[in-house]
Amino acid sequence: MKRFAFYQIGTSAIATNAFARRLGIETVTLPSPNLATIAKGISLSPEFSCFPFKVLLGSLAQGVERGADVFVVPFGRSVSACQLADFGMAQKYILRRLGHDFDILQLNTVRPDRVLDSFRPHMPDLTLMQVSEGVLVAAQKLLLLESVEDHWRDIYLVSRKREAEAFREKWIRAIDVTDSILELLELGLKMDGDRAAHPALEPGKLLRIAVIGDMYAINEKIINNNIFERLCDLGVYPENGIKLRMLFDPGLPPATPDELSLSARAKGYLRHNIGGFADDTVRSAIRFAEEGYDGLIHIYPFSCMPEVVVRSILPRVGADLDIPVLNLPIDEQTGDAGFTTRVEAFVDLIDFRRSR
Amino acid sequence: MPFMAPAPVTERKTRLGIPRALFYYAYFPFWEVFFSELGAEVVVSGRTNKKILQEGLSVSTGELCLPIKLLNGHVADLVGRCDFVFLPYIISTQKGSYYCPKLIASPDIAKAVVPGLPLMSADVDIDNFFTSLFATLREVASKLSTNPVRIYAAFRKALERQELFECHIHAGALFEEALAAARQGRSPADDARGPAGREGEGPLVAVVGHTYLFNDPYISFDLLHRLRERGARVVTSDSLSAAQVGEEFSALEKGTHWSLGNRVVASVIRFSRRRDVGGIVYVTPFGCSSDSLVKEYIDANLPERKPLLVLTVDEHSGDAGVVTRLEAFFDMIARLPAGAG
Repeated sequence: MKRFAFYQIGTSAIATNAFARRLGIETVTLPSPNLATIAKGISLSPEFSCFPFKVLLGSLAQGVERGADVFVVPFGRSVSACQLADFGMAQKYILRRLGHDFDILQLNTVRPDRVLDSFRPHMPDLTLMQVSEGVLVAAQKLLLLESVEDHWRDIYLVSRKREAEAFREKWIRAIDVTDSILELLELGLKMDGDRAAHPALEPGKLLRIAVIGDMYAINEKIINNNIFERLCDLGVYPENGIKLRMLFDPGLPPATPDELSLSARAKGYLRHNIGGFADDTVRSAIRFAEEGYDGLIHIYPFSCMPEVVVRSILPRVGADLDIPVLNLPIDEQTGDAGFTTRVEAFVDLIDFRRSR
Repeated sequence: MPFMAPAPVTERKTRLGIPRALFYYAYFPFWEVFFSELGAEVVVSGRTNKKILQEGLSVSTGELCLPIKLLNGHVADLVGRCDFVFLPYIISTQKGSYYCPKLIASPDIAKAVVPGLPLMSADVDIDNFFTSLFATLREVASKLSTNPVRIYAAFRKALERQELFECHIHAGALFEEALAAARQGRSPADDARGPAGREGEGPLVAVVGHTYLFNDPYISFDLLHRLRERGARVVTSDSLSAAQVGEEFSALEKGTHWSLGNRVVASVIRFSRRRDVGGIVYVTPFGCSSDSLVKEYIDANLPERKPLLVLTVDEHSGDAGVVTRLEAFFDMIARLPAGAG
């Protein structure tokens, strides 16, 4: 039987593993990227490929060594038009040169029937019911994982780091082992109860910064130098603008009046969906500015095609809406000290700005 | 404006600026005819020079690639000299493959970094079922004329010119030659001798890459003419027709996502199969993300190895470095027996 491995971002493996269990396929879990993964990826990758390509290639190389035969790219909508569209094939060519062979399965959508069609060649007995349930459970888990991160931030800000970490570890494990849809619903309620045991947080009193930009850069801690924890350490309330759930976003057109107006204003800056999460980044920049956030941190991989465009446009958005923007391109050359200094300086700046 | 005196008969024509960058090298013949037929005066930004490049660099953010920085320079050069700057959103010109996000959003970038830009734009998206080229053009032309018959006539004329231009390009002419020939209405068959530069005894060198890069003498360090000066005959990746690009791709497992990337891969494969091609020069801008993975496609699918020079250019490249590498490349070609790959 073929063994599948899913590309992963942050904690997405928990969701994709649940999906795989519903389908009854055997999986190889790729290790979370560490310095060895990154070094391996860089040594194999072309110079100007984006940082996520390099890191994922490192993970894939580790995956083939562990016996994966098929790699699944589960990132629905974002495949629309960035380098990600060519990731699979280019990685296949590179690893083939090293004597590894495998298949790439690109899921361009979360529509269960399409997903079923993609898996059929490998799994002839698969039913639509299994796939639908799998997508549902995976989406549910992504949402819960997102709340864990929100609660982690709140506890981190009001209590100590140790308690926040313990909370995160406990509930991530609980989400991982629960596979029933009903039990997951119940788990969500229990988690909220557990959160309520800690003192409440008043975000209005703190400086609030929204982190926007590339999905991978925002949600993979080792890539973004643990930006959320650093901001919390500086006493800032950070908000994730590009959440993992957007991977499962079917990309429906805006429907409510608010959404329509936001989307129309965003189109004034960026007329087309140019792939990746560029349009989400512009929209969320406008939204957070209007919600009264104190600053925006735009974080993206160097040579990321969509976000480099956004990087040129954001200063204009910031000037129009009167909100400071810090641009943080990251790649394998990014040093810890330089990164920290810039974040600290930015926080000082918005603190000063607020006190005036 | 009913309260003003009637406009004099010799009313000034609407001045329409077209930046000499990016898609200028692919579609300028069409735009030139289309807009002048509609009564506009077409103003092209100056040839790339130090001032335009510096202007582009000073307004652009560092991570952008050289062609986009250069576009911003050309756009800035036009501001104040014309009533509108024409810069379309070109998303796809072929089914199933797209332009790079930076190219698609280049009008958005120009708008954000060049203050007071009177942008005139439209969406060109062949892959989108809901838009047709003519509807797009009506939208573009709405500022010049609302008469659909006139617009259609201009469209037909422009298309003719563009087709003639592309005939010359596919016959092997370089951009300037093809543009001049198309303006004069000559067909490739009229040129008994063939376009200049295809004659001669020297080795045949294929230049592949994005058309807006090697056709701009300033940022490509006059590559095409340097090659000719050394006695080489030059053929570029522009000379492949869309059908030929498609042909090469049907043999591959999967094409890339990018129209320009596909052309690069297809032309490298095609030229490396041709016995008369002595070597290939691949020009790519520094930090070009769409080209970064294209090299993997080339490596994996090359039928025969030919001398291949990858020339990465950016605003910091020096003349001397390029010349040295070209010389080394020529030495390499000269040492290989003719026809050997």
